[in-house]
Amino acid sequence: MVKNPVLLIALPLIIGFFTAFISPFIKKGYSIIAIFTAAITTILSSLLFSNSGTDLITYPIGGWSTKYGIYLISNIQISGLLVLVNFIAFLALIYYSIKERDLGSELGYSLGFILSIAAVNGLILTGDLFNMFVFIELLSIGGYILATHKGGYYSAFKYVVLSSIGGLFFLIGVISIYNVTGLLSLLYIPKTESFHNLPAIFLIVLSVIWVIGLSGESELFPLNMWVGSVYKNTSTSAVVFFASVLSVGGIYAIIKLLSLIFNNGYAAIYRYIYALGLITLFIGEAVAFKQKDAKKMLGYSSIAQAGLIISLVALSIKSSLNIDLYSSAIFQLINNIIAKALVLFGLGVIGYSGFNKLKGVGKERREVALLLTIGTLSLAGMPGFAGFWSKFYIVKSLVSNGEIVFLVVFLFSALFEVYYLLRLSQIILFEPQEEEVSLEIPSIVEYVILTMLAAVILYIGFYPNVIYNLICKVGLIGG
Amino acid sequence: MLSWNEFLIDWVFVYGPLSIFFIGLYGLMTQKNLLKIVISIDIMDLGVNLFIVSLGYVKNGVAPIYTSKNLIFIKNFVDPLPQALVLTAIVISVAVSAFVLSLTIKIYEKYKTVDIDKLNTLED
Repeated sequence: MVKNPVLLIALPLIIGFFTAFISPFIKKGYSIIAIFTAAITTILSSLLFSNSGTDLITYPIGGWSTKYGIYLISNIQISGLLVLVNFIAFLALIYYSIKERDLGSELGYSLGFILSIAAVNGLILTGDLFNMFVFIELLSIGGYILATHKGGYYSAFKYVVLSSIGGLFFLIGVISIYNVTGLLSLLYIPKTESFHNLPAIFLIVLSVIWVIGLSGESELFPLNMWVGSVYKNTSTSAVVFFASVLSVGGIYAIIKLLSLIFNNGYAAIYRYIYALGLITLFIGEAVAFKQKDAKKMLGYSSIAQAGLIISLVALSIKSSLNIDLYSSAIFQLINNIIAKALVLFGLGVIGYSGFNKLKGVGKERREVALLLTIGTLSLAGMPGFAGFWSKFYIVKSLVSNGEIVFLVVFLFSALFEVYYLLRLSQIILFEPQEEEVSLEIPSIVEYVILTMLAAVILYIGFYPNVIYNLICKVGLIGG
Repeated sequence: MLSWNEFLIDWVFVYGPLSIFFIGLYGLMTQKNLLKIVISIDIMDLGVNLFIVSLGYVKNGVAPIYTSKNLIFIKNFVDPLPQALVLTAIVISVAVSAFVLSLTIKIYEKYKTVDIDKLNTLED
């Protein structure tokens, strides 16, 4: 039984490395290698999940002490997230193999997907800052490749510029904390005396530098200006990777930094990060509301959700490790990535994302439109779907903690969200067709992908406590 | 009057790299040409890398080589970690520079311009 999660990072890297070597001899079939890699990582993460408990386990690499060496961390929450992320990556790669393999070099893009899987697994699992920086850069490089999948070179350029700035900020933060504590370990830095003696202003600047550094990957304000244009100009499989795989790595890295390093009641830090998250939530929803392209709209919705989740996590640590707020944030993250993957796959199967072309396509592709609507209803938080429960738990935890400002901003932006998501469903299902569009007949595999994701959403909709109780049981990592 | 050592540590090792970083940032915010933007990012990279290396500086430091045959512990070992970090950062920045330059070529092939203002209008 494989118990060490290092294979989740090493295997995709090894496979990717050797795939490049066999390329002179084999001309086709690289997408199969990518699917195979995602299948293995899904199985490995499931094995890790089945062996995980609520306690945080450290896995030292190379036999070094976890205080000074490289190590990975995992518990049932981390491994559960890995199962979900790797499974969605697997579905995206199947979709890529059957529909988008010929959009660009099969070798190049398959390697981009494989690299992204290794990077996101590494970012979720790593326990030290140096590796976190390396995985952030790997994740970005994978993302740069995927951003060009449909020829969106200029949008990819914007992503590279913003993400490079973020990487540099993160690196400055890493070296600054190393300079004062002499450590890079997430678990040991807060235990050092030199860390406790640091002035509050240093910690505030450090935390803001890190959050800004990661804002490119996690789609948070301010380095998220690439999102709308990349989402619009890249392929379906790549956009699913951005929305449901890569962004999770970025968001979870921020969660780890906040909960492992700054978990000792630094209220001032959380005021800034909480404000940054709320601004992202509000601006994201307001900009999404104005879009006329469904993929771009979902991109801005992802930005808003990242803001919501980070605000909730910041608030949960500020109010003395409040488990309700934190659990509702993680539950929202899970529901959001499943529903967003379903809607994006649905739009890919239809083949169009501009509102003028989507009008009335549901009449010709009724099954696809209905499955896609399950995703939009869940994102909008309609009762009976998974998204309803996470929003319900968010409202409940905000009310019980007396966070009225947050509640008002959240409900106000939820109104925007409900409006634009229902408008998307209404355009697809009920509006009369305006333009002549040629629709491809979806394959069985595409239906299977959509049905599986819709089934997960409905299952969580009916049995939310199965997952929510699990999240609550773990609570904050390292808390 | 600053001693040579203080001047070296404060001005050359800290403010020098930070000035290079901000020169790059200024270029990034003001330039309209994609190639100049790429060069600005590289200048920022250089600033950060020099800053990191300078943090590991030890006066009269020696290479931190400590093996089974060389068991002498010397007090003024140079901290090797910032150097390892910079090496990684350099490799990453080379890869990103190569990628972003090839992107610039692709952008030029597609739009026949590398001017941001024109590209923004063409993309819309």
